[in-house]
Formats: sequence, C-alpha cells, structure tokens
Amino acid sequence: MKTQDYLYAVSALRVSEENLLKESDLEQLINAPDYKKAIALLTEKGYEKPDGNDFSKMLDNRLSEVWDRVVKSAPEAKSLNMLIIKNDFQNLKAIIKSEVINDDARKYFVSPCVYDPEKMLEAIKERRFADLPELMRETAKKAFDAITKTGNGQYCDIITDVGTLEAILSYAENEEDETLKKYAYEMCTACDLKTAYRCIKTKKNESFVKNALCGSPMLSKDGLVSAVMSGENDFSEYLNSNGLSKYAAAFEKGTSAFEKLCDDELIKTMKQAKMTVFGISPLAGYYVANETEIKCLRIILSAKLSEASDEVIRERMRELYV
Amino acid sequence: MANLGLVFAIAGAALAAFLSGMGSAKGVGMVGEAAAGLVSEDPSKFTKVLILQILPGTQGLYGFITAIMVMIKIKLLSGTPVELTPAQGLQILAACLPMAFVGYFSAIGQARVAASGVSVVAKKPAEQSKAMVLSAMVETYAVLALLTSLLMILRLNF
Repeated sequence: MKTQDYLYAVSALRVSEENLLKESDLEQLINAPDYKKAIALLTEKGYEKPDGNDFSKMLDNRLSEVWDRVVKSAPEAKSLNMLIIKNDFQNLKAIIKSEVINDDARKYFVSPCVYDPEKMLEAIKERRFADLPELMRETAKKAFDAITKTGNGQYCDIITDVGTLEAILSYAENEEDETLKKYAYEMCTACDLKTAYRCIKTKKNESFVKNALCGSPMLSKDGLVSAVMSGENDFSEYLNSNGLSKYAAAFEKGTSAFEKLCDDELIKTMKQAKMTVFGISPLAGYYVANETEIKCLRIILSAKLSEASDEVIRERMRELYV
Repeated sequence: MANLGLVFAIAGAALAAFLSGMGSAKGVGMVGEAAAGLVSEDPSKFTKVLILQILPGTQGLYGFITAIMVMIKIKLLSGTPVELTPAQGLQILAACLPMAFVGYFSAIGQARVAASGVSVVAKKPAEQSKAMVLSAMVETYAVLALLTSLLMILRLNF
C-alpha cells in the first residue's frame, strides 16, 4: 500500500480532529460541580447520555465507533491492529479467568478488538487452543495451564500481559510506518517501566520480575531486571543512565505521576503524525487521540462520582493529542 | 530515413506533452483524493481546496504549449512540415527535454505540497493562502523549464 493511498482518509479525519476535546474543555469538565453537570457538558460536546451512573458503556461505544470509522476510511487498516490487540488479550484474560471460576466472561469483554471474543470463548470452553488466533495461541495455553495448576490469577495476568506486548512487538517488526513502529516500541518500554515500578514497590523476587517483563527493544531486559532487584536508588540511576531521566524524576513523585508520564511520552510520539499527510500514522493518531480523550473522561467522571477533589483529577489528566 | 529529423522533432513535442501531462494527471488526482476526503466531512471548503487541486495541473498546460510551439516551428500544423536533418531534429528534441522532465517531477512535487495544504485548510481554513504560496513555490521551476524549452525552440534557425 502506497502512503498516498491514505490521502482521502487523512483529510477526512483531519476535519474530525477539530471536534476532539481540548484542554479547556477538560478543564470545564473538571470544574463542573457534580457528575450530572459534567455529563450535561459532555452531551453538549456530542457524547451520548449514559444510562445513570454507568458511563463506561457509553465511552466504550464511542471508542468502538471511532475505530469503525477509522477502519472504514482506510484502504488498508491491518497495521492499526497493533493499537487494539491489547483488548483481545484483555478478553482472553477475562475468558480464562471466568472459565476457572464458572463466571460469564461476556460482561468483561472490551472493544474494539481484532478477533471475535465469542469465538475465542467457544474455543477455550472446548479447550481447542489451536482454534485461537496464532498470535495468542501459546499465551492462552500457558495462561490457562498456569491458572488451573496454581490457582494464582496473578500468573495468568503476567502471562497475558507479556503476550500482549510480544504481539505488539511482532506487529511493529513488520510495520513500515516509522511513527507506528516507534509508538509500538515505546508502548512496550512504558509497560515494562510500569511493571518494573510496581515490582519495586511490591518487592517481587527476581524470577517474578523476569517473567513479568517483556523486554522492549529500547531497553536491555537483563539491565532492567538487575536495576529492579537492586532497589529504588539503583533503579533511578538506571533510568538516568539510559536517557530516561524524566522517568527517574516521576519515579520520585509516585505511582500516578509515573504512569501519567508513561502515557504522556507515548502521546508525544504519536503527535509526530500530526505533521504527516502521507501514510497510515495520522489514522493511528486519530484513534489514539480518542483513546486518550476517553481515558481522561473516565478519570474525570469516576472522580466526580466519588467526589474526589479537582486537584486530584488535574494531577491525573493525560496530555492530549490536539 | 529521409524524415528522421522530423521524427526526432515530433518525438520531442510528444515527450513534452506526454510527460508533463502525465505528471499533472497524477498530481491533480492526488490532491483531488485529499480534497474529496475533506469535502466529505465539510462541503463548505470545496472552493478553497479546488484552487489547491488546480495548481499541479499547470505543468500539463506548459507541456502542451511546448508541443504546440514545436509544431508551429516545424510547420506541422500548416500541413507541409519543413525538412529537417537528423541533427536539427535532435536539437528540437533536446530543447523539449527541460519541459518534459521538469514538468513531470514538479507536478508530482507540487501535488504533494498541495495535498499537505488540504490538511492545512482542514484544520485552519484561514491559512489557505499560505498553503497556496507553499505549493506555488514549486511552480517556479516548471515556469523556468518552460522558458528554457521555449527560448531554445524559438532560437533554433532552419
């Protein structure tokens, strides 16, 4: 597919980018006195009115609509699957865990996703792992064995999380678009750093850390494991010596600051697509922009329901694409 | 091959019209695709992007002018073409080359800038003139190539 084949889709989505929420809109929502007022403001911006306090479904539907639109407008959208493959692995995790505790996995399904979760559910129910998509076959088998043999849900989480990142990396290896490739690599780096951070805070052992990290091409896995095992000071030093001093500073500030920085750095990479006209990256940028917007809305609306302070919400707001 | 000179001259005219026209057709199509995407979302911007779409079309016109000038020079239009030696024919062919090649590449280059300009119009309609100026800069080289080809064709004596 030639980069100029995306011209129609890119121009159409550039117009839609103008309808994305801006920082001033988010500020207005944060300043809303309560949840109802925040929802009223949101509906004025074109969002659907949620059913009572359950805003999650409304936001999920919105993101699915955005995805459908991006895919329909693109002459070839296979490369974009790397952006949503995490949802498929999330569904896989839900299916495996629900299967063990005899629960209905459907209520935990997330969308948009690449593969039909119903088919995955059927395959796992009948233990037909070979019928699963090739990308998740091995991960599914390992995660299922882990949870059935040990009964430990955390092992299942680790296996599926690492499987997600490996799938993203395999998409990235075959990707020609440099922005998408860089985004995928940085996503893996950010996830590994978040995992490393949590492992330090919860004092996990070396074998756990090794299994929990994916190994981003931008960071040495062995170096990261030994930095985690050496404790907080050495971890900060490791970040500084690997050109990640921003992360070291956020590490000092705490969990939410660290996770916010990881997300902000990712959106900064995707912002390169704003300067591109030829190629698929502006389409990816539009989807990621909506994903970030919805992440911010989830934080605001949850905070409004739990009556958290405006300052707490502001601290957690992610950098927007626009 | 008594008419070999004439064959070279006609080949030069054809090359100028063909390559420049092909570049313009590709360029106008490329910008048209970008413009259609924008108009599908915001039809009110049609006239703004139409101007950008037209810009890469000028090279095709320059190639056509060059071909006409060759045809006039060799009196092809009057029905009795002048007799040209192979060397004279090659001179005309060489004179057509600047327009043929610069026309082709500048049309595509200009189309890329104009297609990017469509994105400028999509996000900031008030900046349309800047998008046009950026695209028009590429036109300079097509105009220089046209002048080069025309001056050479006109100055050839036979």
